[in-house]
Amino acid sequence: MLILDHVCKSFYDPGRGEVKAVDDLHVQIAPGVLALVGANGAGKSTLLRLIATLLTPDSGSIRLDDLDTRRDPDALRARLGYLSTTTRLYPRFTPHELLRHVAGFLPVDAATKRERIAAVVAQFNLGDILDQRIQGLSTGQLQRANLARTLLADPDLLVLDEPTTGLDLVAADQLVAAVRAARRPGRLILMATHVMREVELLADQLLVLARGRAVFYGPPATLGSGEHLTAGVLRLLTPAEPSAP
Amino acid sequence: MKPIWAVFCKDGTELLRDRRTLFVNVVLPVLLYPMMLLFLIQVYQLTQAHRPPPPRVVMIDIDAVLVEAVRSGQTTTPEKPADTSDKTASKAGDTQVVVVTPTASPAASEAVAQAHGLGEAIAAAMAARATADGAESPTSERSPAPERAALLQLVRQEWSAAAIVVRLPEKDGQARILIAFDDADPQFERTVAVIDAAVEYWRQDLIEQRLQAHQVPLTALHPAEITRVGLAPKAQATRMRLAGIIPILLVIMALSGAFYPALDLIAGERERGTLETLLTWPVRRRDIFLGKLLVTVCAGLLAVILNLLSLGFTMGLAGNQLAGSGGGGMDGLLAVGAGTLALSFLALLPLVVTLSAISLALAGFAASSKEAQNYLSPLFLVVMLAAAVALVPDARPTFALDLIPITGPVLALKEALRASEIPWLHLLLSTAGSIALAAVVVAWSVRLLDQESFCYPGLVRAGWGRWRRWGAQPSAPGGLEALGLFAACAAAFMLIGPSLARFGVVAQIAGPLILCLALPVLLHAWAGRYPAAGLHLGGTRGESLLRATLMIPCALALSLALSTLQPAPPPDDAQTHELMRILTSVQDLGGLPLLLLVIAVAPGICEEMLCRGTLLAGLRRGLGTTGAVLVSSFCFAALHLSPYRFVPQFSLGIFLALLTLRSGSIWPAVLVHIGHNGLAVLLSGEGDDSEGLPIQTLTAVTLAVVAAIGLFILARPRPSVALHAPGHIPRLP
Repeated sequence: MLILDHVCKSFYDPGRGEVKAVDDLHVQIAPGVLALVGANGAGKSTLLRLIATLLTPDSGSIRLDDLDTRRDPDALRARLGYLSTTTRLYPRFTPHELLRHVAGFLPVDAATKRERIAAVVAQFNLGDILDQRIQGLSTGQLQRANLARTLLADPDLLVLDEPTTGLDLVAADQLVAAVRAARRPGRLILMATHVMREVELLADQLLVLARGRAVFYGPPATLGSGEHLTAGVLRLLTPAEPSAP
Repeated sequence: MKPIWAVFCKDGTELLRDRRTLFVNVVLPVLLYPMMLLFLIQVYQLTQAHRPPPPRVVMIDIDAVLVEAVRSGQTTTPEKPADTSDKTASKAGDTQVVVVTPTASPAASEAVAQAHGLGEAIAAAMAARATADGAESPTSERSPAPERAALLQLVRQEWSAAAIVVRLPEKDGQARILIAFDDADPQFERTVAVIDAAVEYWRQDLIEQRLQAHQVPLTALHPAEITRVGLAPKAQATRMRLAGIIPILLVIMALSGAFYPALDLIAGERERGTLETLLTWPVRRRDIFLGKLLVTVCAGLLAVILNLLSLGFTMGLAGNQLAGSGGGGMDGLLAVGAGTLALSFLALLPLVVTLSAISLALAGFAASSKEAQNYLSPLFLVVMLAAAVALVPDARPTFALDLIPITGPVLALKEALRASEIPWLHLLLSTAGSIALAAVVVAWSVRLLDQESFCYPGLVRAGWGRWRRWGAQPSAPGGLEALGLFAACAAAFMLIGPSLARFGVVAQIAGPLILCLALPVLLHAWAGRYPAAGLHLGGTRGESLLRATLMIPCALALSLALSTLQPAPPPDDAQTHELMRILTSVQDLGGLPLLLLVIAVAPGICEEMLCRGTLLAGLRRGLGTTGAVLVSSFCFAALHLSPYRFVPQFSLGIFLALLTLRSGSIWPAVLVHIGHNGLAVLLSGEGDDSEGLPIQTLTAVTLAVVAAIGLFILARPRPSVALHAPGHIPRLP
C-alpha cells in the first residue's frame, strides 16, 4: 500500500515564480496498476520523482507500507524500480554488463543474481543484443533493456514515467505487453501516460492530476471506455486548466 | 564496503572505456614528456642548421692579443692554459665573431678618425658624469645623445657591426679602451659575452706582463689555490636539488589526474542522463559518492606514477641526446630513492583525497562537464599558488605553516627531501592536518548527493529565483553562504583596517571590528531574515554566563600553554612592534579602561558575532558539528593574521565554539573572549615589571583547573533548549 499523506512540493520557475508542482495530495494506492494522467506541467513527473525518493516533499509524507521516503530512502529503493523518459543507460556498457552491475547492488546471493539476469533477459528478449554496446542500440531495444534493468530487483513498486514516449507502434505495444506481464500480487505499478488506450488496457485505478491536485481518483471505467474515457478525462482537465495546451 | 566497491568497479570500467579519459590520464602523461623532448631536439637542430651569421666587431688600434682573443672567442685566463675537455673552451668556437679591422683607405681612415673623436668625447662625458655622481663605474650608463647617435650610425652603416672597440690614449700609465655596443642588434648578448670574456683575458695578460717586468712571480696574483668538491652522495645531492620541485610536481600531477574523472563522474553522468538512473538503485548515496571518490583518487595516483615514470625516462633520453645539457636522467630520479618517493606518496595521500573530494564535489554542482571545467579551473590556480610556496628557496616548515592546507604538507615534504634527517614532527603534524581536512571535506561532500538541489541543479538554476528560498525558512545560512560572508568580512577587515589609522589608534583597532565584522553579520541576518537564535545571537541564561566567567582563567591558561608550542616571534618582528606601539598609544590616550574597551570588549563582541555566530551556525548546517567547530576555529585563527599566535588562537576558537554550541548562544563565549583578552593585557602589563610570567607554573595549575571544570560541566545535564540541528529543516530550491 502506497500512502501519499498531504504531500506538497514547490519549485521555482522563472516565468511563473513559485510553482506548486504537487499541492496537498492525499491518496492511498493499493497494489495493481495505477495510471497517472494530466496535462504537461500538472506535476506527474514531480510526483513520481517524490515517490522514487529522487525528490523530498516540502511537507507531508510518502510511505510504502511502513517505509517513509524521507526516513528510509535506502530501504525503499531496494523495493523500487524507476524508469522515465530522462533515465538513460550507460552507453559504454553492454546490456549484460549493465545488468551485472545493477545486480551487484542487490542484497541477494550470486546464484539468485544470475537467475534474475537470465529471467529478465528471456522476458525482454535481450539475447541478440546482450553483448552489444548500449550506445549502438535502437530506441526500442534501449527501452527493453531499460525495463529489464528496472525489473531486475523484482521491485514491489514499479514507477514508469511515460515509458512509451518516442517508441514506434510495435515497440510501444511490446512495452505495454511487458508491463501487463509485470503484474504480480503485491506489486504496485505507477505509470504516467498521455495515451488513453494504455490506461484502458493496463490500469486498475486512474489518478488525474491538474495543477498538482488530484481531480479524479478511481477506476477508469467510471469515466467510460474508449472515446468516452478520453472525453471524460478532457472534461476533468479543461475547466481546471482553461489555458492548458 | 561492498556497495562502494561495486560503484568503484562500475565507474572505473566506464571511465576506462572512455577514450578521452584514457588519452588524458594514460596516453598523454606517458607521451607528453618524450614528445616535448623530441620537439625540443628538433627545434634545437633546426636552429643549429640555420644559425645567424656571427656578429661583427670593429676593432680600432687594438692590441693584437685582444683582437685575437675576440676573434677566437678566447675565454680562459693566460696563466691557466685552456683544457680542451673544458666546457667553456669547447663553447668558444660557437661564439666566434668576425673582427673588422679598417684598412688604410682614405674613406676608412676618415671613419677611423671620426670613431676616435666620438669615442674620446663619449668617454670624457661619462667620466665627468661619474665624477659628478660619485659613482664608481659608469660603464652601463647612457653616453651623451648626439655622440652616441653619430657613433651608432658609423657602426651600423660604415661597418655593419654589432660593436666597436676603440683604443683611447693612455692616461696615468693606464691603457684605455672604449667598448660601444649596438644594443638593438639581435646578436647583442652573444657579442657582449665574447667581448667581456676577451677583455678579461687581455687584462690578465697585461697584469702578467707588468708583473714579469717587475720580476714578481705569478703566484703573487693568485696567492691561494682553491679546489671545490661536493662530498654528499649523488642521491642526497639530487634530492636536495629537486626538493622544491618534487612535492609541487606530485600535487599538480595528482590534481590533473583527478581532473577528468571529477568532471565525468557526476557532472558527466548528469549530462548523459544516467545519474537519475543511478540514484534510484538500491545503494546508499554516500556509498555512490565514496565509490566515485575512490575512482578519482586512483586516477590521481595513477597519473602521478605514470608522469614520474615518463619524466624519468625522458630525462634519461635527454641526458643521452643532448650531451652536456646536464640532464640528470633516470639515474637522477632513481637517485631520489624509492623510499623517499614512497614517503612522499604517503604524505600526499590525504591531500590527494582532499583535492579529489573537492574536485568531485565542485564539478558535481555543474549541470554539464563544460560548466564543471569553469568550477575546477580556479581550484587549479589556488592549489598551484599554495604549492608554489615550496619554490621559495628559504621557505621552511613551522608549526603554524604545517596546519595550512596544501602549503603545510608540501613544505614538510620539501624539508624531508632536502634535510639529512626527516622532520618527523612537521611531517606528522602536516599529515594530521591533511587527514583532518580530508575528513572534513569528505564528510561534507558525501552528503551532497542527499541534497536534491545537488542532484537536480536545474531546479535551482532558474534565474534569480535561486537566491530566494521556497517553502520553509531555514534558521541559519548554508555552509557556503557563511564562508562567503566570512571571506568578505575578512577581506574588508584587511583592506579597511590600515586606512582607518589616520583617524587615531582607537578607530584603527575598533573601526574595522565594528564596520567589517559586526555590521555585516547584522546586515546579513536582517537580509536573510534569520532568527537571532539560529545564528547563536539570542539571549542565554544567567547560569551559563556565570559558568563562562569561571572559565576565563582556563581559556587564558590554555592559550598561554599552547603558545609555548610554537616558535615565538623574533625580537625585531614588525607586527609585534606595531601592536605594542598601538597598545601604548591607546593607554596614553584613555588609560586602562579605554585599553580594555578596545583590546578586550570590541574584539570579544565583534569576533564572536562573526566566528561563533553566523559562521559556526552556517558551517554546522553544511559540515556537521565537528567540521563546523574545526573550520570556524581555523577561520578565527586565520583572521588574526599572525602565524606566531595561530595555535593558541585555533585552540581558543575550539574552546569558544564548544561553549557556544553548549549554551546555544554566543554571549558566554563573548564573556570568555573579553576576559581572556583583558587578563592577557593586564598580565602583560605586570610582566614588564617582573621579567615575564611564570608561565609553566601558571599553566600546570590552570590546566588542572580546566580539566576539573570541564569534567564538572560535562557531568551536568545538557540544557533543555533544543539546539538547531544541522539540516533539520530542509532547504528547498
